[in-house]
Amino acid sequence: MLDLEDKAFLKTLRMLKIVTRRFFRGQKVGQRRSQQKGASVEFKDYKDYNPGDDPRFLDWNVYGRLDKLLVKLFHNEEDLHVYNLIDSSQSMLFGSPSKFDHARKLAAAISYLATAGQDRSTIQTFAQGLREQSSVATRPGHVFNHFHWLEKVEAGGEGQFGRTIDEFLVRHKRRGAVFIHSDFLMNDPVEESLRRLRFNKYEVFLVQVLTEEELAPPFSGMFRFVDSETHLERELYVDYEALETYRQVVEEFTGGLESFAHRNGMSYVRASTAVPFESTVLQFFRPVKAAGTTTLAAGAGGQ
Amino acid sequence: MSFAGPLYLTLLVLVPALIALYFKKSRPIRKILPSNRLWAEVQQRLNQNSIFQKYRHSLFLVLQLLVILGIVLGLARPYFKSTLSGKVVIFLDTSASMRATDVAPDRFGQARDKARSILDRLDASGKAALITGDSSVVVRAGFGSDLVTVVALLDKLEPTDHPGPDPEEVVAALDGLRSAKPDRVYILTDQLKAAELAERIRGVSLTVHSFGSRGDNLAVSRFEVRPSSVKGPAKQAAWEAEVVVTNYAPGPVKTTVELRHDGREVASSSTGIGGRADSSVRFSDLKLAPGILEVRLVASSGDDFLAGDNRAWATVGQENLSVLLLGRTTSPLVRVLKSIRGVQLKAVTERESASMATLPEAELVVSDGVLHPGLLRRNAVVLCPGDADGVSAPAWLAGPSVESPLPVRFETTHPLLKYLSLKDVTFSKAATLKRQPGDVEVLGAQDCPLVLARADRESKQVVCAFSTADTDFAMRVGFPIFVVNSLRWIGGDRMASSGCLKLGESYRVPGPLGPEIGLVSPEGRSVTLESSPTPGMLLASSFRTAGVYTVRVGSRQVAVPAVLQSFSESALAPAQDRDLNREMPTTVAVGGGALSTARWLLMLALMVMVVEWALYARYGG
Repeated sequence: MLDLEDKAFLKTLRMLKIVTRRFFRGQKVGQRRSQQKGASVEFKDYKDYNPGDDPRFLDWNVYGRLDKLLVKLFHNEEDLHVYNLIDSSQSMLFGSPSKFDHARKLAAAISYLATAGQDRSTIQTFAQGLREQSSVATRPGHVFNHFHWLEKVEAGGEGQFGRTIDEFLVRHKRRGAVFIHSDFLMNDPVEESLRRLRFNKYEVFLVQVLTEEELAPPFSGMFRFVDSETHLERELYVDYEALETYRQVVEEFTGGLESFAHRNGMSYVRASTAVPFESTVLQFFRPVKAAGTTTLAAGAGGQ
Repeated sequence: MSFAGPLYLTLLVLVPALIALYFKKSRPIRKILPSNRLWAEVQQRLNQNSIFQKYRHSLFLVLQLLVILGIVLGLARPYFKSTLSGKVVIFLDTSASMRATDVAPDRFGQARDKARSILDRLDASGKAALITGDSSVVVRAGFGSDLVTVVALLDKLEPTDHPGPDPEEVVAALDGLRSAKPDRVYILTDQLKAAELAERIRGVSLTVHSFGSRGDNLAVSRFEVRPSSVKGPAKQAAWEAEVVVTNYAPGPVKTTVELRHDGREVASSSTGIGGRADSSVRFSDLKLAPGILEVRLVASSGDDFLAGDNRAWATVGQENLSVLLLGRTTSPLVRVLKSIRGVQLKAVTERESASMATLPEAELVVSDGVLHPGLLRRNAVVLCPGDADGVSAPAWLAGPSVESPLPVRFETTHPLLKYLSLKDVTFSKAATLKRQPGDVEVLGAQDCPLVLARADRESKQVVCAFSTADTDFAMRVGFPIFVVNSLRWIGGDRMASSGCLKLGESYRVPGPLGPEIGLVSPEGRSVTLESSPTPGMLLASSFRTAGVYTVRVGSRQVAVPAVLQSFSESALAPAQDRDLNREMPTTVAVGGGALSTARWLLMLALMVMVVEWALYARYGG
């Protein structure tokens, strides 16, 4: 799965950070600021002192100037739940390397990245609905379990995105970041499901994995195309004009998904299997400036 | 639309082959894709104007078909039939060489088809005349005939085994029609030279179409049968035969020469003949009964495109010429006549002849000093008595006899004087011959002719001013030669060819003539010839094909073999005109626009190829 001998890449991954637009309530203490008040060093607000409050947090300077007892409040730091949903339908088995392999590698990298940031990470496959789910990784050491798990999962069957999202919303009550690795070539409309996910306050990251052959078909002539999932056949003479039209359709399809993502506060990246997944990861988590240090953050609309 | 090179149209088989190949190649390739969704969108967009889009990918096929059609039609040189108007003369060669099968079905078949096509193109106001030519040129239909009649005549025509027409006769026949002011003349032949005809026929649009391609042919060019010097047993004469076979092909051939007598094979021999060479085959000690001997060639290698010259016949043991001798039966003349092979001699003395009103039937009469009235208008060698005067025989003589005339004028080129010199001959006296218009003085003295050659439509005569008693000529070695020369000049090929008739020549019926003469052709067709311009002569047109004819005169039957032995016919492809397979219009070509049309079609094909190449470079497969 992930090349663990590639120390440089792992080091790069450790420098990356998943940035979300909103605050999520964590399960444990982490490095991610929460809307909850807590015990971090970062000042958040004042409140009037009430009996029972910890007198260690009284601001004596304010009391000297204003003659009023105020207690200092600090931000709480919690962890983030990162969900990796990998499309394991039949269509993901195409390409060399296959889109499924590529998606697994990306998911592994993101899982490693999440645990390196003391976030919780799980990986789950889906096709006609949710399938297998990995264990929850909370430390970088746990992520190797994900790697072994990813090597065992298999793909096949028809993809139904709407049902998958419905099941996801039912099963997972804890909000977090959802990375969806798929070619999004489902026959049911994905936009409505994504909106529903967003409506339920998940941070959605779309990773559209496509092969080069899908982006720019290298063939021409008379073909009978067979859909790998529905087995529907369609005859078409592929010539220069058909290829040009196809390129437009692909551009509209990927561009439409990207603009939809941006309009709805989601992040989007197109990952070609011809491009090494490391490059895709680095492209996805672009550099951002935060708190005086340069880190790499995911998402087009990161804070 | 017609084609100047229709054979190239066979290349059109490439069209279905290309279509089959195209559909085989354009059979859809089954390809499994992750999803059809995007291609469905593509198809939906491209199918907006569906009919055009559906067949748009066949554009290359259409272009390739256009290229093939352009090239094939260009090579086939199409042209549109133009209608002819005015008066058209069609000359159709019906000679033996037109039977050659080097082209299908044969040269005559092609020529007749061409003639039909010319007649088809004539418009309603058009008129046509039809002339055929073999050994004689005949105007079959003049401009007064309607086209249906001309076509019907054309359909009935068959080629003969006669030699080809003399260009002079063709020109003469065309001149005969010149008064009707023909607009166009078509010569359909295989041997007449276009350039030569164009030179002689002026003032009219002339088109010469030549037919034929190759001259490979094997022919019997000579066949002679003669008594062998060695006689066979049982009183049956032994014969020897000589066959000369000519190979007109450039390469060597092998052939078997078969001799048949009364339908039974009596001898055969195989021989190889080099290219354009002769081979002589001799058969000796043949025990043959009187009848007809046939020679037949069977080619075992090489092509032989003309069958008519592969057979020849000769009579065996039949007298060829019946001769009636009037006069003394003990003169040197009798001995000479008896020594000539093939002469059936019958003698009548002067006294016997005096009591006869008409002389007995014979093909030729030799009169030694007897001037009988029955000699007039008969084939005869007449030796006048030297002491006769013009009063006793006014039909022959003009005055009193001349003493010791000296021969001073000699017509040495005349056939009568062939191999002869009469300079030392002495005459004691000679009659004064009465000249008639057309007489040729073969030998003449100072003031009178000594030998006259007389020929008219009915007969030939050699009239001498002396008898055998009046000259020492009868005792000289030249006298038998003179007699034989005379018989040959009068009897023609009856003396020379063992009783065989060369096709294209007239035939004189031997013996006494009846009111009707019947002729049975080799195919068994029987016709009765009631009269002919020359009594006792069968015209050349009566004998059309080679074979053994039967001439019936009353109760008599004579077998007459007719052979095709003509170099001009057997040499199918004259050396000066090798490329006979192409039409060679001399002035006006029927397919005149064919070449320019072909050029345009080939250019169009080239342009389509360029367009296809550009489209392929732009849009790919």
